[in-house]
Amino acid sequence: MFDRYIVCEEGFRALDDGRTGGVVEVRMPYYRGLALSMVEAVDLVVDGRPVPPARTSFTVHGNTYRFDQLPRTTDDRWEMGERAQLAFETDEPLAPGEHEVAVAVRLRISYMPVPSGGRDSKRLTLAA
Amino acid sequence: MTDTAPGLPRLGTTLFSLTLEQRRAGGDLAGLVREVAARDLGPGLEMVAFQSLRGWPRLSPEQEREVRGVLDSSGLTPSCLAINNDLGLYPGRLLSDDESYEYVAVQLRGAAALGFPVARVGVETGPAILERLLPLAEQLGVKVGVEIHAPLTIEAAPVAALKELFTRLDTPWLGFVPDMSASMRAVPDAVDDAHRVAGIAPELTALTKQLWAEPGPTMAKFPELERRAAEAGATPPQVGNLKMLFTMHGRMAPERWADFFPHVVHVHGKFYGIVEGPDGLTDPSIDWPAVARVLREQGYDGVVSSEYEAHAYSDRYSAFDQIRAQHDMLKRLLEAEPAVAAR
Repeated sequence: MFDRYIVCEEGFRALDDGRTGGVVEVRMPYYRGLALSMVEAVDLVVDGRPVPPARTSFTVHGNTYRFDQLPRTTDDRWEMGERAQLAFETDEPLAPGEHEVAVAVRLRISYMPVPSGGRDSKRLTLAA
Repeated sequence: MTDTAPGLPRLGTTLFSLTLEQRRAGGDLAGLVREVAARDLGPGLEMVAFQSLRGWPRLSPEQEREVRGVLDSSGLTPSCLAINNDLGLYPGRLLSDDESYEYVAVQLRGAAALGFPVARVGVETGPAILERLLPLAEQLGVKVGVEIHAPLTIEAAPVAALKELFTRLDTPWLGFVPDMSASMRAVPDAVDDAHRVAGIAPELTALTKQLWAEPGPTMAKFPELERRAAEAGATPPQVGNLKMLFTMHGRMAPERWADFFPHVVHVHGKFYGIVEGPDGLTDPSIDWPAVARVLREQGYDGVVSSEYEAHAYSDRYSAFDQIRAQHDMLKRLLEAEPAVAAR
């Protein structure tokens, strides 16, 4: 339903901690906030290349998690409309200019018969 | 406020209608509630706890004071707090009954602390948990209402079980929250916008609307929809979007809402768009004259919360203007119905 709001047009940037890679800001494709344990996956594809979850991390309101920590995290929440920072490592530095960024979010919503979520893809510009 | 005459259903707004406004950066609860009040979209005010209250259900005392202050100073009347029972909180298993009870009980206490007289739960909170919640609901003075949303209808097994429970317990503290999504007369036109964005051909949308409108139980139509949509070239995600129209929009006759009484504790005035027709404001997808008749005949004097949901499909319309139009239409319909027969 809210797929087109997943990938934020602003905030796309290179990592600034010495590693190569970037940060894309993402929003929940749902009408309310969910505990992080109910976020099954946030799959990222940059310029057609899938980024393994082990090379990404997920930050909400300053709290950073590896994806293998999310299933146990029942006391923190990704709120509706809240921009989470999806940081990812790449082998080569990201070139300035346009990149195709695709994100698929899978959510475990108890009253839905099938896994829920959404997907979005946008061309984002990395400043030089 | 859109005040209806004494003894009639009262009108109100759920902040869920303003989901897009709440998604926008910089918006705050106080500002949104003020705007609902300033636009006379009360008197009832409902909200979704996990949407509008950061940190719910563990609000700090300061937060609790702040929210109460926002509600008190708005002049609006808290009508219902929508809460959730996240049975899938842990991967690989559902909450146990004890966990599920606790998950809801904490939120019921929170609803009471904020002054809400009704808490809405979904049908995943079943009869056993509801019966356990009854003493707490009574002690807190908060009614627990199970929302009947599409694809549920009066015929669904979980609904029959609830009806049996409420009849047996004969209590004002547990009941139903009818949601008009379950009794629609057409798929709303707003879906066309969403389908255009999702690259779904207009012919596929038209086919789905046509199948939807045909007689027969919706669940039995899924195979035909899947087959014909695939033949017409729909991709699997597009078929998923089309099937969603079947599950989000129910076809129960609105007159059947009478069967949920006297166990109705709140009403969701779900809608997807009010338009100007030859005879004034009208809703192409929901038969409000029929709904108003049931509410008057049953002597319902609780709140009908305007729940605008076309924001899920389109951002083309102002939710505030849509609620205004629905209130004007409902006030006219409710006041036009003949006086209620004594029950």
